[in-house]
Amino acid sequence: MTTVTHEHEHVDEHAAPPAPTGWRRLTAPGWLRVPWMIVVFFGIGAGITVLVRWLEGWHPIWKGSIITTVELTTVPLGFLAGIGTFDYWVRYATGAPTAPEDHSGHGARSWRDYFRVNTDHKVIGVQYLVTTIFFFLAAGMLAMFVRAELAKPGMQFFDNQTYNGLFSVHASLMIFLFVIPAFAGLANFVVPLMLGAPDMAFPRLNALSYWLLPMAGFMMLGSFLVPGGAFATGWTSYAPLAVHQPLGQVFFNMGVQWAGASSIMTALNFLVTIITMRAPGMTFWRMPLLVWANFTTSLLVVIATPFIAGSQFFVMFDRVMHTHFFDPGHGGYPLAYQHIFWFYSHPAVYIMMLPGFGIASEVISVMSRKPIFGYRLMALSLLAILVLGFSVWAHHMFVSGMAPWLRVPMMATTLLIAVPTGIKVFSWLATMWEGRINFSTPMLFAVGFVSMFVIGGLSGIYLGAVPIDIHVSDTAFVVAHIHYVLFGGSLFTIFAGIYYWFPKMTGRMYNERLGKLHFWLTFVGFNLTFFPMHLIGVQGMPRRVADYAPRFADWNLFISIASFGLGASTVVFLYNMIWSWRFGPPAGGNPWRALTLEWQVTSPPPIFNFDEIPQVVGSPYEYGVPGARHAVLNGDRAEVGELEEVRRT
Amino acid sequence: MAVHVEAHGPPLAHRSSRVDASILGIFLFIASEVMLFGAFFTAYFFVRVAAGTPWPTPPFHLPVFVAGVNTMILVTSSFTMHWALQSIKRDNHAGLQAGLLLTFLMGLTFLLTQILEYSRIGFAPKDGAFATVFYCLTGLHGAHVAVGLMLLGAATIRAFRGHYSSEAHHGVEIPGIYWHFVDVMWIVVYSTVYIL
Amino acid sequence: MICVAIFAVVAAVIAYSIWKFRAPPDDESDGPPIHGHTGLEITWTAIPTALVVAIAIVSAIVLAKNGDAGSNPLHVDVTAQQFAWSFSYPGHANLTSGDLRLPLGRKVELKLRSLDVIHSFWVPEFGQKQDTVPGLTTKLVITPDRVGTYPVICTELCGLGHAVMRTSAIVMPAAAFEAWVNKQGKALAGPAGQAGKTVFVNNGCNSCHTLKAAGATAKIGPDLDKLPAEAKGAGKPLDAFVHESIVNPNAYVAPGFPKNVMPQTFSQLPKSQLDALVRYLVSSSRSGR
Ligand code: HEA
Ligand code: HEA
Ligand code: HEC
Ligand code: CUA
Ligand SMILES: [Cu+2]
Repeated sequence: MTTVTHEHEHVDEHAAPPAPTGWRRLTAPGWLRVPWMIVVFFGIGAGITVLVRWLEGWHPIWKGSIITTVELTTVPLGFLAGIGTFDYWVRYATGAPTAPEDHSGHGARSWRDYFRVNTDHKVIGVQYLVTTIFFFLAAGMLAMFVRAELAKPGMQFFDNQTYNGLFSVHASLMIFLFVIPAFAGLANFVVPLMLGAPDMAFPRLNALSYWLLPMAGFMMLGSFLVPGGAFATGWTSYAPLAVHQPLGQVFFNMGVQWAGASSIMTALNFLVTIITMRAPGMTFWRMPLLVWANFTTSLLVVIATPFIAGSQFFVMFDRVMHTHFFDPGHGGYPLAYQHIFWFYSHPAVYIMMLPGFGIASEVISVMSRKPIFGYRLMALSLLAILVLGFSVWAHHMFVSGMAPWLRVPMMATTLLIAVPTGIKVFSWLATMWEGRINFSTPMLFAVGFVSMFVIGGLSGIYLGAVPIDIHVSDTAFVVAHIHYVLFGGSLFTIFAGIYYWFPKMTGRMYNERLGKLHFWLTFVGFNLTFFPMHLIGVQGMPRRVADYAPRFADWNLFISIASFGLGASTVVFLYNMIWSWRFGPPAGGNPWRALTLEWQVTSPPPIFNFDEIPQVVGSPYEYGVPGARHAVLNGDRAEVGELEEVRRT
Repeated sequence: MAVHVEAHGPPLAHRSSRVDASILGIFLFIASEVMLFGAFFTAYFFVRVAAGTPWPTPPFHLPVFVAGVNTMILVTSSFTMHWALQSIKRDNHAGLQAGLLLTFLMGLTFLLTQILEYSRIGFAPKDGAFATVFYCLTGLHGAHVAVGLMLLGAATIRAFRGHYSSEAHHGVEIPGIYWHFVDVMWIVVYSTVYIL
Repeated sequence: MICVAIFAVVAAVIAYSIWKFRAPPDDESDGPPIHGHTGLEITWTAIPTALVVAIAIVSAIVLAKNGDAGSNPLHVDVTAQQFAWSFSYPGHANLTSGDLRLPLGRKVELKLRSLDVIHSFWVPEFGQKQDTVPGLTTKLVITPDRVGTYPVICTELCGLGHAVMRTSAIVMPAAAFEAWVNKQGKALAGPAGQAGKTVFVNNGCNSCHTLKAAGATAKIGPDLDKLPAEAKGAGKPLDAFVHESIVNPNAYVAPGFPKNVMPQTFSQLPKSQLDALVRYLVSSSRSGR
């Protein structure tokens, strides 16, 4: 694991090595090697399974469900080996002299370079974004099916199990394949630039974490094709139910493992990059808040994600090896699953929100032409959320039958999270106060985010108060909370981020009028869709049901119609992105007149970001301060005294 | 697109921390591994404490003594690992090679003993929650030993091909850190599962 | 209330900012460089802290009150399984019922158990909810204070029948409740037909099956009025077929219906009740044609 920066001697050979010809094309890393590698690894997986079963005398020796489970591990490995994520490490491990770095795997010269293993963080960032938007559309499509079924009481299009599969895959894709990796993708593109670094600390690891994602996603989508249908236990996949479900369930178990592995690797990469590769002068207190946000998020990921891995292993072992983690008849303990799952998944909701906080901070400050209000407190409140986030998991279990004494302490910590979050909300408002606000599309989404997230957060406070939660837990009220924080929170900030950095990524400007249209359609459609869910939830409409009492029929029909409008608004977004990417007017290096480092280079940035590492001389948000500078680039040397002592933090 | 940049390659990243990137990386990785073990220990806690499963559930026994000997082997291998690293820091290639080889062999012995123990222990993962947790905790650790052996294997191969020196020995140091972690984790597993 | 007020404040500030601080299109100037204000920051840390502490204290008090069962509660044992509820009354000779009948005004302590996966007991009108966990017994206290029929809903995803795992909670005046208890006791001891029907309803068969004689119309399982034809299809005498279908539902799975949905626990019914049930189904399905 060397960084690109170490191989300095061979910088002159940038041209890709001559393309392999003839048979060699089959053995060179790439799409031609993928199919046969998958076959080989399939064989290995099946072989080992059959061998073990034969040795142990288990019958039948060839058992479909077991083979499938094993293949969900080995086939993805085959894919990765084929596409070429492991080549370097295999050569290293066998002791071959590592090939001199020719940077052929770095940067994009044509669109084809986006379809192979690439170690450039900017390419990877775009790969992430396009992939995650694909899964967003797929998951949104499933939500449309869900709403179609719910438009009327009784059963319309799907049977119960299929319906359960629809919302389970919808939620799992949205969470594990859209929100979490989309934030990782944006950060991948932006963070190294903001730090003044040429790339991430471990570019090859970065590529590997990307290539894990499509597999996890197709695994979850593919579960619709297996006998018994898709996994149908919600994105929470509670044991013991999950242990007794049809085969599709393992597609969730394994999909989560791959996506989780990807996010752990990325988080590790971010942490190391942020700690060891900041430009001179970039102390922690001069980092843009987006970097701060990804720093805290990555800490959350590294610490929490192994817990969901554990929980899914247990379910899988219970299924495949007939262990008894959750079977009370044999000494197991069903609630253990929920404790372990939520010890990850509560922090996960902050994994899905803190990067958004970072994006909002960037956008609001730039578009208001004012420094962020209370910069240090903004950073500290992120850390406070990080710490508190680990002490609240049982608020998802108020009615679960866990030890009753846990309820009140967990309620207290849960409610306390309102304090650091409130600090952030109020600081954003204060940042806008008296600003010269430019309501471009990113700003609209950022402001939309602040208002909608407050609604979602406050419904979270209702849920945090135990007596209220006991009534509304597992009802449409929770569904409303979920979407106000995840759609109104995470998704709005992702949109803000995409619009904001679109000119930087593509070099072209998106269409502002379409952007604004997209915002208003989304904003209105979103509220019409999800606000009524609060009401019907309190009145007694449970969640996760395909059929419901007739008295909720009117509201549900209303919600369904609104949701189709919401879905249609996405088309505007897609059209805008695709059209502008090809035909948009050139954006120039710094269309927002922003101070952070990524805007000081060309759009799109040069392959190695900076010709020379910049010198950071001040805060990134000094809008309105006469003569203030964040950084000095490219040889125009700082005046005497402007460069302070560069401290190592 | 910025052709002139390609002419002279990436600027050297500024090193903003005294800690080396790869060393920091492996420590963070270990932090997340510790949490993975944490999840398994949480399951252990719920089965043994919350559900009150007898430990070990009669009529089963745990081979405390054999596993104890095995523990000694693994702990010793930590010292040989340390020796290997110290050797290469002083450019002593023979020491490095011997140290790595010894470590590798001891790790392998540990793993084989563990497998033997499984086959003789008299119960399978499906025989109740005690057996479940026993197999999963020791199995998870076993998997880590296996990964550690792969890393050590690569380091050993490279050592015999003369790759390391007193200036460049990350390739030994990082598997070493991982190996020490695997050892320490075993001590925790051994004391909670076998002894307590 | 507090929450509405907070949202109002936030929304007002946003609206005001949007209206007041919008920059004209070609304005390239910057805002005033305000970096922060310690007093303000302390205020908006302190006020929410005070608010959430207050909310926490009030909630804790309400919670403690809700959990108090008083000195003489009615005890009901609740058993959940995929996908049916059953209730039994330890104070009344373990009388079992497929719907929950409660006397008005008396506190009720429910002891909840599950036979398979996690379910959750909820009656929206009572405002209380509790999961049932296999291997654990959980408790819930409710006070029925209005006569009426309310839905009992399973709110924890428990498999494909989750959406239909429903029954009713019927709150009746105390006297009517006593009368019902007595009638049930007599019916079980009474003539076979009546006993069979009582067993059928009390065990929640009617929540999944159609049977004209019992007024059942559910469609999760096969239509039991068509049992004779089904038995012929399986090649078995009707009574043996019915008996087997109840004690071992997976032995013969009716075409078009999923395996493992019908609970396998009815084999534990007392023999007298099981026999009454089988006889009842045989006779009512024959006559129902
Ligand atoms: C982005 C994701 C996200 C975020 C940020 C949050 C934030 C919060 N959530 Fe939410 N939550 C989810 C995603 C999220 N949640 C999901 C997906 C579920 C469902 C899981 C499932 O499928 O079961 C869930 C479920 C859930 C439950 C369980 C409900 C149940 O199943 O019974 C609870 C209960 O306490 C809860 C509480 C909270 C709280 C207190 C916050 C707080 O962090 C909110 C803090 C923010 C504010 C309070 C607003 C801003 C503050 C001010 C303006 C200051 C003034 C405010 C006060 C003084 C109150 N959430
Ligand atoms: C980021 C997270 C996220 C997002 C963005 C959404 C978006 C949406 N969600 Fe989802 N949802 C969850 C996370 C999310 N959801 C979670 C965690 C659950 C809980 C699941 C559980 O219980 O386990 C849930 C559950 C859930 C339910 C409850 C199911 C139930 O309990 O029975 C419903 C019902 O209405 C719903 C609806 C919607 C709708 C209408 C949208 C809309 O916003 C979607 C809008 C649609 C699109 C954006 C797609 C449009 C596509 C096209 C127009 C086609 C174009 C296609 C091509 C060109 C190929 N969601
Ligand atoms: C949760 C739903 C559910 C409940 C409760 C339920 N059943 Fe069933 N039952 C089914 C399903 C589904 C089938 C078909 C699949 C099978 O045969 O296992 C079935 C099949 C049967 C059959 C066989 C019918 C045929 O045509 O093959 C009989 C008889 C029967 N049930 C009787 C009962 C009785 C008596 C009770 C109550 C004591 C009961 N069921 C409760 C769901 C249920
Ligand atoms: Cu039982 Cu849902
Ligand atoms: Cu939570």
